[in-house]
Amino acid sequence: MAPLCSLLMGVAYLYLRESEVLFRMQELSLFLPTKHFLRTSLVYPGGLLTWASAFMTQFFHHPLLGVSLLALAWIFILGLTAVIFRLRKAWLLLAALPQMALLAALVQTGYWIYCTKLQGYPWVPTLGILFSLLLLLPTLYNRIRGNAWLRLAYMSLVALAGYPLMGAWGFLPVGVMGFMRYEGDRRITRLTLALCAIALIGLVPELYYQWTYTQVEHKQIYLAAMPCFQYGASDLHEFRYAYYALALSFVLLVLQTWIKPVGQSLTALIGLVLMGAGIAGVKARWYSDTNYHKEIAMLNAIERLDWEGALKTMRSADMGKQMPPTRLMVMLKNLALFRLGRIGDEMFRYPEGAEQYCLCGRHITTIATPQGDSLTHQDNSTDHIVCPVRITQSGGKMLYYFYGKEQFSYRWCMEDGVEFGWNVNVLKYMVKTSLVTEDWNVASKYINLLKQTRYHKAWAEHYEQFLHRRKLMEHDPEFASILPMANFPNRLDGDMTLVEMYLLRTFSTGMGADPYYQEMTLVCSMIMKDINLFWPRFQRYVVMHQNDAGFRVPTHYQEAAYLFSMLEPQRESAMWPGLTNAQAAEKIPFDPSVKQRYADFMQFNAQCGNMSEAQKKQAFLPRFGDTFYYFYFLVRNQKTN
Amino acid sequence: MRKLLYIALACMLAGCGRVSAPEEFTESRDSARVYPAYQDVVVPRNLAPLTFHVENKADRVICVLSDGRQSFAYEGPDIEPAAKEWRMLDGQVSVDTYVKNNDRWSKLRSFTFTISNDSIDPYISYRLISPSYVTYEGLTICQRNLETYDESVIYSNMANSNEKDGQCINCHSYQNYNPDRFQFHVRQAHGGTIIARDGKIERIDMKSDKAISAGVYPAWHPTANLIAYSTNRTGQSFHTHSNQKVEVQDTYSDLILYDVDNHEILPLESDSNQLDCFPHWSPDGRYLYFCSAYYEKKDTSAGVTKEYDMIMNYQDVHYNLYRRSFDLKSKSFGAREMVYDAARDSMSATLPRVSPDGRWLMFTMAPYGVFHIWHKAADLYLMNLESMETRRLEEINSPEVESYHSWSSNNRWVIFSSRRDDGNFTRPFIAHMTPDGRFSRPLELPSRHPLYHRELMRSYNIPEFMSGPVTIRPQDLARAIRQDSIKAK
Repeated sequence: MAPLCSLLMGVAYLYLRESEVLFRMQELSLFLPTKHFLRTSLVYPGGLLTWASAFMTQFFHHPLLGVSLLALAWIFILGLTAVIFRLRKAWLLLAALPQMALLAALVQTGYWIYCTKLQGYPWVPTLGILFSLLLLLPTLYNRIRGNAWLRLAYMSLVALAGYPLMGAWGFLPVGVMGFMRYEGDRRITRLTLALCAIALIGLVPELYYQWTYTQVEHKQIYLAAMPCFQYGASDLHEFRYAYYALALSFVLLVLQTWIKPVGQSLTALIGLVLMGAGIAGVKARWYSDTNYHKEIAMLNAIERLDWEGALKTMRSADMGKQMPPTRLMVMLKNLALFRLGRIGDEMFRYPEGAEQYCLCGRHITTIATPQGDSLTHQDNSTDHIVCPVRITQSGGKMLYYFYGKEQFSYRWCMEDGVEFGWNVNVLKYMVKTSLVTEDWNVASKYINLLKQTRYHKAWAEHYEQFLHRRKLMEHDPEFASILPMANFPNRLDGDMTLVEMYLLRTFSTGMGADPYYQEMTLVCSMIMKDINLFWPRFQRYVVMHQNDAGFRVPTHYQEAAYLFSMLEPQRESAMWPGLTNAQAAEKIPFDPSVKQRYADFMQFNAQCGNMSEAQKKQAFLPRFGDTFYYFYFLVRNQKTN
Repeated sequence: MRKLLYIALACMLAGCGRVSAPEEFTESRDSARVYPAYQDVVVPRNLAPLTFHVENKADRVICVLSDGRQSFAYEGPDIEPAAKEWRMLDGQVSVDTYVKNNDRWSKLRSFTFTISNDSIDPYISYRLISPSYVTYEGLTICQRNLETYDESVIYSNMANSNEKDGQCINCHSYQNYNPDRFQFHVRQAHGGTIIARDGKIERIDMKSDKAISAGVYPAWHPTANLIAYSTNRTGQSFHTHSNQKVEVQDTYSDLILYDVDNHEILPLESDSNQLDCFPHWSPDGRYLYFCSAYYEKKDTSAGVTKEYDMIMNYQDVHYNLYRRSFDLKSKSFGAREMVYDAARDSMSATLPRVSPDGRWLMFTMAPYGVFHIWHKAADLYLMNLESMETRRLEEINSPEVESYHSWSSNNRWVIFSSRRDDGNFTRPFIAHMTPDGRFSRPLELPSRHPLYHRELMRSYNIPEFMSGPVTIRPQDLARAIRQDSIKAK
């Protein structure tokens, strides 16, 4: 009962805590019910396992359903483990150990979900164990259990069939059969079986490599269908702990078949200690980074076009206090505000930051300041990790799409699809960007692929209606604001993988006839803090909107204009040629509060004369953290990735 | 009960029986829409059966293939003719398509294709690659038996790739259709040029002070152990708006000759403003064809690199076709001779390929640049080498890209790359040529399952005919690639 309860509690917590992440995991996966998809999987050892795992992963589209299926699988594993390893009474606690390791393997990944290349990653360990245990079921029959030769024959069969179907997971049943204690076996029989198991594990992959598999590196044959926690220069050894724990749990399960019965209380004590260690291990490996969860929630919200939802997540209570946001979160916030038409009034009212992605629960840098720039970075790990995840992988495709840089969004979809495997998310952006660029035939190709999926058919059919129908797109709420942004002359360029810098550079130096586009050029010139770029864009913004009913210049734009006038008072005004900025500032109808806050800011600055910049940041934040003045003077060095 | 069993058995037997055309139907004015579009194509007699998917909406579809003497019916919408029956068809084959909607059959307008008496080389090889730009996971150089649908891997980059050391593979090439003599390049991990000759495999490190890069685009002399290469310094930049997506440019490129037996590099002329590329030998080995562009940096301001200058003026790079005579004895080349002046018409011609009988020169031409697989305006052109007349091959081009092409050894067929299906993924197309240089409507390489190419997320790159299969195992190539390389002199 205790193992079952702990398992169910773990699963419930998984659902409550990780729904958004699990949903994202299925977006980053793909399963097609076609022969070609199956054949493509079977090119690699363990192909059937990864194919089946990709099938199961799609159910995380409804996180509750996905988690329920996972719970069922784990309960099944629990029962099978108890039966196959003949666990009695207190030893039953041991049956919960594999599930804890499986849970840890699932919840530890964090940003690694963007790097994993293993198809169906969330389900692979679970199905690997489940299939292994199912292959061990026949050993319960007396005829096989009692006959070592039959067991050897069956073990060989499992090794030969298990490797192509399950990859390295197929070693588990072979190892268990080779080393588990079966009543009645003589010592020589046991030794023979153990040696045969080792030989099979050693030889079968080599045989398959020589005669079957042509697309596997020789060094990797013993790790087929195992997740690889290396990417480029990064090697995240910590991620392997859960898998070591999984292996260790089966070693213990085999070992207990050799141990003579000990007292109930001692057994219970051992079981409880192991369970306690398992729970502590799961807790230690659970990736609890706030930014990671918020960022994924924002991505999910924006893909539902729930702009307010994204902002709500950004505003959520602890944000910016315990940990500054990532650059992607700041960019997503700006995108949401832009789409809601509130960027000019609100963009500086949210926490600013450039928190780096962290892996394995270790931060590359920990930022202590509430406003979160890079002044007080502390490296709290002895082993400095370079996080390989870039914004191009996490949210860059989305940002490029909504900002009208369709070719760059498409490009990163293609790069990621090739590097990490095709998934629903990249196919969706390839559909949408191809529609915007009127690349109808290739859009149709991707739509047809998505129409074959279980949960994205409706999505694909929705977008299918736009094929060859530009007019319809112009009236669609999603496309209507993207199409004007995507209307600019072609040229050759490159983003060097830096999404934010590319967007800032191209918009801040651009000019557009479209009000949406033009406003973004103004916003980016402000973020770039470039006075020369700002004035012509501000002037154009005013000219474009001055006849709008109820028009007022948004607060942050006023703040920028007032600040830049005050910084260069004697310079000729861009707004009123012939006047100086100081004279022009008198003519521009700035809100009194804009002028007053500037005066207050400067007065406070005079009072804080001897403070360091870091101290000023802390001191100014409560009063001026929501102004462009604060951003201009005190937010610097926002490192983007 | 027994009666019921008989009825069930009869039904099962009926279900297993041959499909036949419906006896009652109405004639429809609609045409059969099939993918791939096989209407009016000419098919090599030894090609695997044409499979196709009927796209007309219907509850049931039956297609009847008939050559006037024999006819075979197949249930759709995926029409997959049996190989044995296919081989019995000959000459003009008509395809009658019957569709059933609301319990009523109607016959769509028939189409035909022709099975030619001309056969085709039995194998092709190609690289399967996603149309990505800097990532290259899962590249395979494959071979395909054209008489069946069997595809096998010659070499996969995953055989020697891991997360720390990736590997790119490219530019497979054969000596005169011979699958026992081929080469391809490996970049990054275990980089070098892999040259296989009659079972012997060598990895050559061709980086040398004599050339601006290791060998890139190859051309194996038809009789001698000499391979001409271009050496290229290549870059790519991205279109911000155009669906052509990427522009691949050479800032410098020359030609070299590599002596396979002596592992020796023999540079040809080198001029930093003359960009030579895509060498190809005439079938008799007496001429080396290539394309070349003259580009002088336009912006001479300090700090402006040639690469940047070319990016800013990418539409001003025009390649012409040239050739140089070659003396095998002295391994020396004559002066360059202009073969086709594309720049005169503000066009850019690349990939010259002479037919095995030496009568025809096929090439790819687009308004600018060298890497035409990304140029939607790229089309195939044919030059009669006797009259030097050139024409755009209207009968095989499409509004999308046509690029790489290869002649069959009997001069009767060409296989070429085209992106006509969806504008992005390259598929091989085969077209028949009559002795007077006229082509039939091209047919897309048939697949075992007709919708395979629609699902495939990879392009076919460099389709090349071969006289048979490569017999060296991929594992042996992988092992050879891991061995020490031989440094070219």
